[in-house]
Amino acid sequence: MSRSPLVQGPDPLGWFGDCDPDLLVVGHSHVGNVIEAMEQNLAPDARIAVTRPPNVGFPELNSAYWEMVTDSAPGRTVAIVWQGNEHNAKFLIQAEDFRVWDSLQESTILDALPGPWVAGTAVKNLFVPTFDGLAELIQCLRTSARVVLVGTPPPKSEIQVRAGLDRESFFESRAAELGLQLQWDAATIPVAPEALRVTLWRILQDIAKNIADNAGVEFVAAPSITISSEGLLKPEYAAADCTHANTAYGVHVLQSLHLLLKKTEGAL
Amino acid sequence: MKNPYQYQPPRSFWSSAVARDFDPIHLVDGDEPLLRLVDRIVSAGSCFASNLVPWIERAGFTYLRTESPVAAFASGGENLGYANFSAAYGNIYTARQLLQLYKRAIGQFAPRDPYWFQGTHVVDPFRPGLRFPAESVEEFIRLTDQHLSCVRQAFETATVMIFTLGLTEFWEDSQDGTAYPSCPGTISRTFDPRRYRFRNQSVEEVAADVIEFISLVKLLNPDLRLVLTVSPVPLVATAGSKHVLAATTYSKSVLRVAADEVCRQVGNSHYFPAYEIVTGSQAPHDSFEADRRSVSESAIASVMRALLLNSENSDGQVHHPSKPSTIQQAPTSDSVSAQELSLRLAEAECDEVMVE
Repeated sequence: MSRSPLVQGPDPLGWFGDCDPDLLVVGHSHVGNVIEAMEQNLAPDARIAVTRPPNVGFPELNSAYWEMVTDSAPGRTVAIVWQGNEHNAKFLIQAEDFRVWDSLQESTILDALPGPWVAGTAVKNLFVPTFDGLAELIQCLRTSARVVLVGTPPPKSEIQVRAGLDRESFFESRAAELGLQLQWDAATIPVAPEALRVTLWRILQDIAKNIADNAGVEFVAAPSITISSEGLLKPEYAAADCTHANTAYGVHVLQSLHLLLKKTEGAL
Repeated sequence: MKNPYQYQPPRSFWSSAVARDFDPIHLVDGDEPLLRLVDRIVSAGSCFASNLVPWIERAGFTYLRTESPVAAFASGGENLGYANFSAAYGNIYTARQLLQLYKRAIGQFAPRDPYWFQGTHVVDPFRPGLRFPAESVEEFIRLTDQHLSCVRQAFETATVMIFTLGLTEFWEDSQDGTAYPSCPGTISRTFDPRRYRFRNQSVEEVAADVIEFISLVKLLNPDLRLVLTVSPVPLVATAGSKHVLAATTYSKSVLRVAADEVCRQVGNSHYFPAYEIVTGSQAPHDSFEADRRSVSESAIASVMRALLLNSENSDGQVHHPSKPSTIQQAPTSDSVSAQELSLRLAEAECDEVMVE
């Protein structure tokens, strides 16, 4: 399929990286770690470009952004990083205890969590609307490009979350929404237990994988090397805020994508 | 010497109690308030039973809820009215269902088939339409144990229970007698005639089930009062050979007699005549909607008025039936809301209608 060189430049929309890339990495805020890896020349030796988000405005990407992606996609592979912070946005600050079964976690850990059990299908029901538009986007891109859906980083340890809470006004606002404004103190504000956040993140990843499976595109999960045995993001892959991963994580994402494309296409 | 009828009060005579000056509040026997302001009220029963909940809450009584959804997941509600009752058990149509529910809650009954697999879901046979089913047996066990714990807490901490008897017909597992709220195959699973069989309870069976239930609960909650009613809502369908109208008459007759039998045998139990208010020959034609099955808003209002006027009011007094009523039947803005809510509840789909 024919393709044309990308329009480079930071403002207002543009690409960073190779002028005629094989791989485009696009999407919401979790693409940031990939951008950092690219900016620091830590990406694999391959023809890759990534959108420059700060000028587009996270977390909402407008139609102009997706038009640019669609226009640039023909003949390339597009790796989409879609949302991925819903478990944090809704439940990091916890007004009400609850727990959700997760067959990948130790039952003794889950059974020891406080609060009533909530069906995993109820959590899915809450998260699914945040994927509105993704299936359509994939179908649109697939007409001219190969599409890969990229998983988003797992939750951080409570220590790291608390260390990053003061950097994010979003969570202070969220605490106010939940009626916890008077308790706002990064050290003590109620934060959902790690095991619960891991479960919620897994449900989010399952939804994404199902969308990818249903669309017939590959799903690239968060790199396993970045995940602790408890299912948390290892500290060495955590950015300073309470939800995002860092440059080293981005390097692994790019390596995973590179490997996938090499395996399936012979070379990137 | 007077004959025995000459000692009877006016309420004993059709001419003075029904033909003239009929008021449903006079139908309730005894002077004790059915509901007290300090009560913690639980209720169970068929679709009709859910009608009373908004009314008694609006009237200032405490409807005990031991199983409420986590706030973040509450929007959209639950299916089939499961969440309308004290512990999300949904409609309990038969006395056998109620007895088994409590026996499951206290560990005295474990169905051979505690869950059904349907696609990726693990379905609760007793709440087969749950909006959010489990996806693994481990999850199912936790969700169900939690539910049964809430059931137990509701029955064991309530001060009064209102049970509306709805049906005598039900389907059971022929291997262990498990009673289902709906015929397997109507909402979930497929029907297996070798496995599931039709039952139509007798007076003795209904009474025995209610008595066993209340006896078990009273072991841990000895002061629990019981208010029994019979749902005036006809059967959606019968699985027997009779015409559905005749089957309804049998069913309601059995339940009505069984209710009296229970009240005779169980202390602190009362019959509340919702059935008579709606279906008696004195009842207005518009007690039922055009389908002659759905109870009208005005009939529900009449039932609830009778219930509330035989309960404590905000002053802690009971509107004795012999005194003029001070509760107006005409709806206030608040009672309109309660009526609207009742209508919505009455219209909500329930397990039983799924047979059609």
